[in-house]
Amino acid sequence: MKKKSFFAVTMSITLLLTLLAGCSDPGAGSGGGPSGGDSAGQTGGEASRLKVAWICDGVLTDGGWNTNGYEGMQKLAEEYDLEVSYQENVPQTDVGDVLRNYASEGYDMVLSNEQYHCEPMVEVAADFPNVTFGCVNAYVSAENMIAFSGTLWQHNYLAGVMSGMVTKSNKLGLITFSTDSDSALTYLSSFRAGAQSVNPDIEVVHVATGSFSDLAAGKEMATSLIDQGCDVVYCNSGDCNATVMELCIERGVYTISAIVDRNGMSDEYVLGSTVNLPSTQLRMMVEGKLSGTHTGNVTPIVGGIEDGIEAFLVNESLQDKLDASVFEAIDEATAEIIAGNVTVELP
Amino acid sequence: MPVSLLDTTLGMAVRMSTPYLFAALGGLLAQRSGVYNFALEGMMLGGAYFGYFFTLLTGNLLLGILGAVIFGLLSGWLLAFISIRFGVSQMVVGLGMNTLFMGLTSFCSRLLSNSRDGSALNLDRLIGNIISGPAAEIPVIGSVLCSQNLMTYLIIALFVFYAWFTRRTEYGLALRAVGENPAASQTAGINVFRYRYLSVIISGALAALGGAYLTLTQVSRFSENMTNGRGWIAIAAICLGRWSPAGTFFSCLLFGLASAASNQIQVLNIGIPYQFALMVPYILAILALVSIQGKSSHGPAALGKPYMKNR
Amino acid sequence: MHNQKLKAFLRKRSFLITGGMALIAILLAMLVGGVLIMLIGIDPILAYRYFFYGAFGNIYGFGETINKFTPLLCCALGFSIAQKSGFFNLGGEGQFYAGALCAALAAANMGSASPIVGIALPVLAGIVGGAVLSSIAGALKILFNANELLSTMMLNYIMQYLIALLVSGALKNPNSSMEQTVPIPDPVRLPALMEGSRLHAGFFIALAALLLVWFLHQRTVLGFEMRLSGMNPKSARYAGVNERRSLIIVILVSGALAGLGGALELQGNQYKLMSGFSNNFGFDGIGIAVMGQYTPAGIFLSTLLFAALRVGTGSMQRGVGVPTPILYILQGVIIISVIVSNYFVRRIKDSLVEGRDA
Repeated sequence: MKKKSFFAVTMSITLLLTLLAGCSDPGAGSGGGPSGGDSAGQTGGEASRLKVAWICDGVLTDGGWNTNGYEGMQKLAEEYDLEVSYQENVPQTDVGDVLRNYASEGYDMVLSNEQYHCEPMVEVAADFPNVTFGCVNAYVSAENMIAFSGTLWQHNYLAGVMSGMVTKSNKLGLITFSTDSDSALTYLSSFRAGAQSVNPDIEVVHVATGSFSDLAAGKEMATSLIDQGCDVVYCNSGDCNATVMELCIERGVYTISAIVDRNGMSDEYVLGSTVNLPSTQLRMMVEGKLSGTHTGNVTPIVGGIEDGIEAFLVNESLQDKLDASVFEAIDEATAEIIAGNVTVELP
Repeated sequence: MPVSLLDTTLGMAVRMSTPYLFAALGGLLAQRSGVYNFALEGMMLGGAYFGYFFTLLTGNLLLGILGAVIFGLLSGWLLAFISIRFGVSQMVVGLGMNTLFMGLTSFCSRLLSNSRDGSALNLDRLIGNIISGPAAEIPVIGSVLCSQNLMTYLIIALFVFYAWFTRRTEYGLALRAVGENPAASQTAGINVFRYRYLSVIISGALAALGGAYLTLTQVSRFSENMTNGRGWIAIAAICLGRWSPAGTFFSCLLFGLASAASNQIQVLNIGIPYQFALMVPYILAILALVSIQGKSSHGPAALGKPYMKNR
Repeated sequence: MHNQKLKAFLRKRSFLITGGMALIAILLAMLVGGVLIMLIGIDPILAYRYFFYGAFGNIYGFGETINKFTPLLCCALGFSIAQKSGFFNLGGEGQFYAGALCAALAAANMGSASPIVGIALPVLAGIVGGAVLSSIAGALKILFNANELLSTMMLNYIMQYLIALLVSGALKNPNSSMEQTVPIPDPVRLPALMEGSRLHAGFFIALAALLLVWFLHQRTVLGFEMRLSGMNPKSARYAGVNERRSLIIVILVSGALAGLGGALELQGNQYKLMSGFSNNFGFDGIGIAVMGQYTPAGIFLSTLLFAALRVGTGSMQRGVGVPTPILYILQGVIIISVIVSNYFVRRIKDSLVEGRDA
């Protein structure tokens, strides 16, 4: 027994030392970051390859926002032969560290999928003038940072218009992660403004899940809304979105998909999808950098439905099921928004 | 069609308490034998994932349930083996297993979602309600008793069985004895280890079923860390129920009601910040701990104390 | 005989046995992790090289590791001191938040104070904040005999929602869209110690706390009473120990340490409070205390390990795309194997003692 344990101790120490020896730069050779050289397995290739880092808050498998950004990056990597590294689950507290890490490891571009990462990103960008940063839906920016943003209200406004046209109970339900953050309040005010523009009596019930992953709780939240008479339920809370939509379809009330196009889930109850794809903005950033035409803008470039940054995709299969006035109202509102005649009071 | 507030709340309360009921019965059984199962949270998460995974794989809900049960039995065995055989801190083992299963289920769900595209990750079919039609329309009774699925009826039956078993059968009395005084039980010829092992192993299966309830009856997919603290609430329910089956049962219902109320507070829009609404179950749990003060039962006497055979 | 010499050698240096077992636990975790990494088609050796490079191999990474070290150490100490007296404080997470909250409130009003006072008062406020939160669980325990495992756990959830409420409401920075407080003023921040790294003075405050706790425990009467009532409440009572008094002190100190962690993290690293401010520091503290066997040296080393795990797994993902849940798998396996190894350590030590008797 004792002999064995001593042997084990010695063995472990030896092994640990061997591992510590591995502490050296795994991509050694070129002297850059860990993936600077060919030895880093998946990398390799010419020096001219653009090295792009992409980070997100939350998990890659949220089936919406982050999944779309991740897939968009994979597609770009293939198309333009980029070397892409990613890190998920980057909480607000660590954003600065992670961004600095990438910038110092020799990445040419450091992108974030998360709106709220833009404030720390501006600080980091000042220290790395040779790196191009980029943040989806950013509201602040820097000289070496590419910042696009949707208006974050136009597509929701249109969803509100459609909901306002189809509701019979004049009660709409909105589910978000919290009910008092700026982004949640933007959702509420634009969705409500759209609905009330066609029917001033409409009431929007706004509730929070407090979780992106507690699917059962999200579903019960939607149950509450439906039971209280909401006949359109719109959910934007991570993983819960698809679950809430399934419930709505089962219960026979209208629903709207947030972030990605899920119009195919039902040809009867999904009114449409409010789409604001991170992949669209990420593509604009990477292509701008590659062509050298765009490597930074101090003021974020805000684009709406006209620019294709965001969109409300009406479910085509409803064309012959709903009254034509519904679609006319949407077209009219779209035209009004593009003409600049619509304003929504935002937080 | 609007449903009455009472019906919504009560039906929801039963649905939300069912996972608590499974996990709490598992925890109760283990604690009766003298072993804390603090890994309930992780075991539920594992049950949720593996129940979902095997259903997705085979297209058969029964096999999915079986998968969850097998995971539960294995994880229960691991907990039993470590905490009984080695006599180490049951709390620490439980916490370690929670961490491990959280990582494992998230990791596995990554593997799964990498291998399929998004739409192929949904289960086609869930375990539905068995009673439908006019019966489900009766006020209160309809929403509480009839609009529920098979697993809810199963756990109610299991609670009744547990109550009968621990009070009326020789084995049940022996189980209680093991939890109260293992040394004396051993002297009386009861195999302490066998009772403890079996209790903890079954406890794992029950917790896993509680998790599987979420993915196989409520939502058709798995999400990382989707149990969101339900295992801990279950442990609080055992305490509040003072280790009696009826007490635990009603405590779970109470927590279910609190979760439902937390939803309804928001929907009714009475101006309470949502964070307070979400705190309700946890505040209730603390009040519950206070309210059991000074009452006769403090759980099995040998609870949490490792028992090692005299060498 | 050789065997006898070995026994005598190990008897004198029993830390070698404990340490060896801990190493085995780490290796086991790495083995499990390695197999899983292999399963997703990534070269585990390369992944682990990224791990070590990320955590120790470069100045930024090492700075990050040290950055995580300070809050983790405080939380581990808080859990450890309570655990030794038989109080299971799972509330490190909530107490960490309470500390950060009080420090933030104090710091916001420190604009014109002298540097020493400006830094010290918020730290003290943090300590008090943590102690206040743990005293709630303590009062419930002492007055109502309420299970502290549950009450501290539930207080964690309540505290998290409370912080979410405050940073999006009363304490929200009006100039930012983010749900966070106004950054604390410069004079209140803990000074950075090294150019090019984020190492701040909080590191030494945490180390001082470690030494202080050790001193309190091993060299004072109060510490003796704490240990005695943890090991054997009955004999403590016979020995005339005021059990209730020593329990109250333990509970307060335990919460205070986690609160200190929150204050140091706020003043040394993040400068503003937000939801998710504590990235599981409180819970990791438990694993660290277990792994470190509740000894000062052990806790020091395991804090380093857990900090490195966080940074290293991030580096593995950046380098070769290993999913982050691997962190929890590694931590879980380490905690479980360390706790199991305690059994073997005890057996080995027993057999060594028997060897002497024979």
